[in-house]
Amino acid sequence: MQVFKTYHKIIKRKFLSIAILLVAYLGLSLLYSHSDLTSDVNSFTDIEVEIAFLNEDMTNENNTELVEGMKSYLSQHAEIVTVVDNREDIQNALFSNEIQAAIRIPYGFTKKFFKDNSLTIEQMSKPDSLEAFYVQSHINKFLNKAKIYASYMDEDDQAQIVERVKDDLSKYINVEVHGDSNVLLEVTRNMINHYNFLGLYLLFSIVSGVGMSMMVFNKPEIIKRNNISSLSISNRNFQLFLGNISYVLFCWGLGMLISIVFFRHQFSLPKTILFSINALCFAITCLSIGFLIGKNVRNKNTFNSLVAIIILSMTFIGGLFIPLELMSSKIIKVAQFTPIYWYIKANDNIQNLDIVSSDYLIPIGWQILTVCAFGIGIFAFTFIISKVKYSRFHSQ
Amino acid sequence: MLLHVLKYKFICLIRDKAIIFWAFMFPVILAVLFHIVLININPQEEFMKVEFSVVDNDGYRQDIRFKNYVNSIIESYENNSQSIYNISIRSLEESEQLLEDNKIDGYVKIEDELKLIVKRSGTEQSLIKALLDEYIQINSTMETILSNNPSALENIDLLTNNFIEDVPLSESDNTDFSIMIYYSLIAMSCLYASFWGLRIITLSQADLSSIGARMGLIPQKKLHILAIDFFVSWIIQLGIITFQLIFMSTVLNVELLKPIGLVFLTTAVGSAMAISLGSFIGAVIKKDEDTQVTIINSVIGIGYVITVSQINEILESKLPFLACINPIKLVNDGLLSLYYFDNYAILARNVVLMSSLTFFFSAITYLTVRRVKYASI
Amino acid sequence: MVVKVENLLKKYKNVTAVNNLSLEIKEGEIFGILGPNGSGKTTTINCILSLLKYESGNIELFGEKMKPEAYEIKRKIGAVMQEVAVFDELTVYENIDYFCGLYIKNINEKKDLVEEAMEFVKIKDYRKRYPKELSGGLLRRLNIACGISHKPKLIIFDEPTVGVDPQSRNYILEGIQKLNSSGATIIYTSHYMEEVEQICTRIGIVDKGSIIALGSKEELKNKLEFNKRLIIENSKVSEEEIAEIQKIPFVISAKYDNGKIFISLSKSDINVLTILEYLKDRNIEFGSIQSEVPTLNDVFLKFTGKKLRD
Repeated sequence: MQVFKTYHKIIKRKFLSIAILLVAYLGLSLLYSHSDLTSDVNSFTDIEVEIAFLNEDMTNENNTELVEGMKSYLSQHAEIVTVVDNREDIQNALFSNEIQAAIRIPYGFTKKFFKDNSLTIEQMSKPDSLEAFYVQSHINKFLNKAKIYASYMDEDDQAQIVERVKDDLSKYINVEVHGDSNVLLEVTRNMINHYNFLGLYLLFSIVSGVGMSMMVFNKPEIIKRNNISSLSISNRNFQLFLGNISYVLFCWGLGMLISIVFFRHQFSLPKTILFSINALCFAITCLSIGFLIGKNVRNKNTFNSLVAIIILSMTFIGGLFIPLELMSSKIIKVAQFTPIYWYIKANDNIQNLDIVSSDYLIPIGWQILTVCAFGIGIFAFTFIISKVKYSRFHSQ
Repeated sequence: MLLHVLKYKFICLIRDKAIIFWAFMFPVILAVLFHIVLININPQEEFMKVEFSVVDNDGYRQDIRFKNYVNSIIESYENNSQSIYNISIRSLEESEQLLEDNKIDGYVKIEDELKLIVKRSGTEQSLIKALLDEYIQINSTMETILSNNPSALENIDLLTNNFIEDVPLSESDNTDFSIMIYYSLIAMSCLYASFWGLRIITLSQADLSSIGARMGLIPQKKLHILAIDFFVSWIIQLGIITFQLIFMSTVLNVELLKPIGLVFLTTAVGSAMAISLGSFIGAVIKKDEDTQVTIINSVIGIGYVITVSQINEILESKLPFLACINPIKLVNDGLLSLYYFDNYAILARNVVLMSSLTFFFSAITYLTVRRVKYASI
Repeated sequence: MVVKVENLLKKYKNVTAVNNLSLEIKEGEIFGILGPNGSGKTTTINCILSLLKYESGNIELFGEKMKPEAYEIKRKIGAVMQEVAVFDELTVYENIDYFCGLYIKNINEKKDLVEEAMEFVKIKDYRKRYPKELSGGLLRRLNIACGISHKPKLIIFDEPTVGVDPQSRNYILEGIQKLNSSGATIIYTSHYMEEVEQICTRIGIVDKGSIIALGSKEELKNKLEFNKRLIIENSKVSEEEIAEIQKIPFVISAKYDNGKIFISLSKSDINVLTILEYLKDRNIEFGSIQSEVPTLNDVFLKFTGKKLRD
């Protein structure tokens, strides 16, 4: 098992580089999940929003009752942050995400509101901001209700209108979450985000690590020396394959161990097993990509650039950074040609898994198999190229 | 002599085809791919359908108002492709079974009060809740009005005015948020110059290359040679960034060049920072080239992922110091602030930070390599 | 004194690479440092050039202490290191021009020196080629040209002929002698005894970081007890007969090994026929006869008990 041992010596020699990759990308995927480990999985929580509330519509230096009521209602759904009221500070606060929206009530708003409705509230936010839309919908809800009361309840003064609106808006439907005795523990969005980002960790650590090792074995002088040795090509390739698999298992095992420990409070055996199997299949697909690049690229600059291009474009198109729900069907069709798309899809289905039965497991199984199919396909492609090169070399 | 060194350093770098090719092509290839994705993003398209049923019991049949409400939503769904709520009216047993089989996201029944039954709390369930909360709140309003003003029954008009006016972030009214993707690629391209910085040190240190050994014997101050190397790398890097900006602006039709002077200032300072970072890593991390290259690749890769994803917000709240020295974010934010805003406070802050980092890295590099003797070469 | 090294001590972790080595090199010498691989030759050179840190010792070049920022001393030094140090992206001409320009400010003077250097190592025909296109020997010649183009007063050659074809090797050795005759002091390190014997005026033999013998070729060989060695092909000879041969006057030692008799003689003008007649008288058969003069290898063997190439 000379080649196998040599492979491990090379990995050992490059261990510092590999360790940096492992720590950096594993740390990243854990960081991604760090924001909300304690969310109550059975609650309907609002999204977190910070806003600046700038009121110019004052009476005797006090907010009008309408404005005060609106502010009080908004504070139940968003955190009101104090920001210096000048354009630059507001822009800076928006840019640095200190606030997601800045609301400005113009002078005379309350008066006009109860008369002819000609003034509008200014909202400054980043374009296409979901949080700003959320704030907007709450404000409109409040004001529309106030308008209705103002139209149909003439005797009411501002304070009464505001009370009625707040009373209405405090009502909500009663929700029951019906569990089944077989229902598996739900996992938070953060755990899924972590497992999805683990895909990035597997890609970088495995593709780079395998590629680095394969480039050593693919130096022309080494190939020549190996070709004239008594060890057959198939034996040599088998040992290389074993070496690569052991490295992949190490990266995968480390990732799984850290994930299980980090999310031990949300541990669910069936889901963890499924996540692990999905990740293992994806890891082997990453191996095939590293193998393909390492076997065919000699220049280190070219190798590093290709690895980054392939990984970043795959993760971008495959839905790691931009949710797939936002993409058109055309792009989703393209995304389906990336293994990470199926990896993420399988993770999402594992998250939603309620009971362990074939009805639920079969779609997940197909997605995991699709991930494997990518790996097999890329391996086959690599071997074909290898054969063509070899036969060209011998026919010269 | 300085011109002599300048000329040859320039020739050496320009003739290293692999490094020049990938420095240019790497962000360009990604930009083209991302562009194809981004022009096909359509947030107007419906992305979700929510399915739930209403239990057809006595409570439902008797609650005319709720029945009308449900029917209006069903009608809206049939006539409007953008409507997301698909409601069906079924028996309790059917509804329970459909929920059990995950064919619906929940069901509603009226007994003493309106109740929503679900199996989990997810986006679909939140949307059903929002819809029903809206009904309950409207209902409350109507009941209050009708109890005080019964004649309002026929005329009541549930308003859906929009009281909000979106104010642009700046006078330029640039609102294309996807521009961040391109700026982050330009930022990554600036950071690619770290490899030039590493190259400078490798070719000047006797323990890193044989040319480094020869350079250790020349009668010239190391500071002069390093400064020339830095300058040449910086100029070439600026040339590459210029081509990339022009490519993205003309071929991909993405407005990246305004205001042109400040855009170049930002990328120039960013590139200088990157070269000094690469030199710093080469001088201080006394390990093999693979390790040094991996460190640079990780800084670029992690910095980029943090900049474009939600991790950035998490980092800003948990580790703000790390967030503010992310080199890719510094360049990215500087460029973005030019796009969105008409004030330059953020740009100025980032340029100062980048210049400070450049100075810091360069100083440490110089102090490490000057008058150095090696333990072994 | 061009080079003065006093009690140089250099260690790599627990290994002593240079062990209190001292030497002095006068102007105009070709000083050879001869020793097997790992004896400390390159380490000594790198310490002299102030590239390596060392534990203790004093190094002076041209009468001044050598340090990394001693630019005036560096202006007078040229080095041809073991590893080829040229830019792959520059042509032959551009490489020599670049390195020469780091020493010579005047453009015209530099141009002349570059042409001279190319002529000297005979690579003018390859001026527009890139290093990747050159053979090992030509590459070494380019390496030399880059190191000597500025006409330094002290030139250090660290194993410049490793992996080089015989023609190139001869060019290199002849070139070094020409440089010396033009006024340059040369330090030449090698593990090839024949090269050192051919060109060096004074030789220091090193082993395990110490100089074990120092002097000119003749001085070193005079340290040996024998002046000539006979090698006589013989089918068989007994131990008693070898002992008898040893008793012959002027025979320092005799041994039989693998069908040959090795006889070391103390005086070079000994009549070989005397030995042969002695053998004939005793009916000791012999075939062909070779005569060898002592080599530096023999010097090394005397002081270390092993051969240079062991």
